[in-house]
Amino acid sequence: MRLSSALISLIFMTTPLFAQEFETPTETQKDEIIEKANDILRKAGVSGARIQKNPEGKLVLAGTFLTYDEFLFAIMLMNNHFGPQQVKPIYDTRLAIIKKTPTELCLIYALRGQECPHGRFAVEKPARISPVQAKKFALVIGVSRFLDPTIPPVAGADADARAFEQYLRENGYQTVLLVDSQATVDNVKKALRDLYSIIPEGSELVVFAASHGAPVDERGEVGIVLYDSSQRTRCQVDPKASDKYIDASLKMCALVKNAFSIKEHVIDTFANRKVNIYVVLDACYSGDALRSYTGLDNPYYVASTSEYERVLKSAPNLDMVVTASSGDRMSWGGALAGEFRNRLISFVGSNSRILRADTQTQTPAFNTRGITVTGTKNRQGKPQQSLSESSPRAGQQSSQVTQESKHGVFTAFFLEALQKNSGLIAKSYEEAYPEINAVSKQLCLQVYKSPQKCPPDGQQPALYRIRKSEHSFQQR
Amino acid sequence: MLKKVLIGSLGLALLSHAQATKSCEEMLDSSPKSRLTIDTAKNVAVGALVGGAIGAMLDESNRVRGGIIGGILGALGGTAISILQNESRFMENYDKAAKRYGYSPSMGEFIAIETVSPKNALNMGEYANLIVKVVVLTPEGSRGDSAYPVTIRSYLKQRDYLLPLGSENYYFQNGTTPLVYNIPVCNLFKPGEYSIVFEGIAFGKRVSNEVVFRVN
Repeated sequence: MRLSSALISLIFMTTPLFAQEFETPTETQKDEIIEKANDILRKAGVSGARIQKNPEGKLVLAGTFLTYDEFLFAIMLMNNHFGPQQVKPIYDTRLAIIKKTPTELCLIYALRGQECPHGRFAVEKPARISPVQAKKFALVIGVSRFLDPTIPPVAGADADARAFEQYLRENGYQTVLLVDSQATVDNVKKALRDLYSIIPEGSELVVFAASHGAPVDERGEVGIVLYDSSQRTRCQVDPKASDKYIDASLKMCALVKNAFSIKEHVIDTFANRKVNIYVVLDACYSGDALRSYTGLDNPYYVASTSEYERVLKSAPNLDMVVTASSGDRMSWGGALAGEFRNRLISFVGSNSRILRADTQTQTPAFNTRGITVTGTKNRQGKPQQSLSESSPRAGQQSSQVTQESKHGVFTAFFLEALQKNSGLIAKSYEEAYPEINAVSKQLCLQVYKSPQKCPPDGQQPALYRIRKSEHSFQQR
Repeated sequence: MLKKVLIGSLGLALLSHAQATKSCEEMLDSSPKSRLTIDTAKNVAVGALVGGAIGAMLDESNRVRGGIIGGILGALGGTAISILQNESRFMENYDKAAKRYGYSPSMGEFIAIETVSPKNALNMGEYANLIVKVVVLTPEGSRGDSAYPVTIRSYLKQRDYLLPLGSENYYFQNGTTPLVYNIPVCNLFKPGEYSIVFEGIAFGKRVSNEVVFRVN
């Protein structure tokens, strides 16, 4: 380091950290100072530097400085000759350019694994990363019961949210968890506003939501039903549905008001803030949660993954979206056998995350999720008392099934895969995909008892890689 | 003719390879860093086209000459517009910054660091243009004429620690001042994600923010 810069560094270091008050010279005095100062700078060999008025009329250093040391040297000269009351040491980007800063110079040394000679700071002991520097944020929503009595509960959506929130928190995320009655429209909006105000640019924002998924309009954009959302239309099986399976038939039968819209509440809110957004949704038809980007009118036509990935490039900041099901499939959930974090996940009960499923064949089947499924019968034709009786893994779990052990099929398998695969989203999705489809198909058959009503390929979770091909939630 | 095309292509290929594998020192020496000239390509192109067309139209005696001169002037105009746009995009006076942060004088002295990387994925031979916005807000507000000393430190984020890079000292006024860093993506970079943490120290407070870019 040059002696001059060392001296100047010392000047800065010893400058008390409070404001420096300056007296303003007159315009004539300013012109005299400019002439004299520029002469001093030229004679000192700082050829690119000059003193000039900034747009606010203050005298500041301007020009091109080859190095930061040169900039400091010029400041020292001006301080010595005129003092800060006449030439202000303010750095003004509009006027001064420092070609090589210590950051730029020392990065080269850092990449070589060498100590940087361009500043004392660079030879200090490396600092440990503290939580203050964490830049991972998450909004986690889980709604299992609703204010509107006509909306059936979604057993386990709250547990999904808690499990996902715990996973993110353990991996360095600052989380906001809104469960059941906390997850009102106002609270969700407030949480996003609060996040917006504190989230630094370049941060990562994960939005997870588990609840019912239902269209918010006639074009089929799907919103996540919040605690105080309400139904706009009664559920009717739509005869226009071209899909022979029950999923698509029911898609448009219940529209909701005040649902959580990923586009409106997340993408648009953070549009002018540079953050990386990851969305994970466990809800029926959640593959169509960003449908408006496709411009499609027919709600029964579901865009392909590649179509979605293409159009979603226009969604600012959106990096990846993982959804429990495609835009024409229900998402299923049920009671888990065993602990959530067990390697082997098995579902012993079922219900879907569709808003309402009042059909002639299954009147009350979706009103509960988990322990009992009213209106279904076991293999012997007797009324079912416990889901464990109709479980594909009957006998593994029975009375031990608790409220806490209910989960969405997608969340359970996806979270398990994330834990196994170091948080890698795409890899975990690929791994969980066949299991989610197999189990969801089984649960559908368990409820509807008819292969004609259940899609043979399951609920079809979707992954849209918009700007990143892979990302890890466990990345530090 | 074919021979000329082949030789020309080979020359271009060698030139582009040489650019891609330039040493870090060479790239740093030839850094195009200037005022906030990021994202200028579009304005420069539009300026050059419009200027060229107008120049060709006006210079009736020699339309090619008119087009070239008009194009150059148009490109310069486009650059100037970009710089002004960027300045209004990244700089803020006290009122604007205070409003954005919901700051009130009762909160005392305030400092924040924001980082912007206009381009997330970079190829060898390119420069990562990083902008660090330093927000300084004090109870004095827009009334006073004060400047506040702020230390900016930078770190390269490694797996579990921060490797110090540089420490710089500046005086800033109330409001938001952007600092521009041109990081040469030179031959020392390996493909992968890089993260630089910028820390601002003032008023006895430390704030930090991180900027991430990917090298292809």
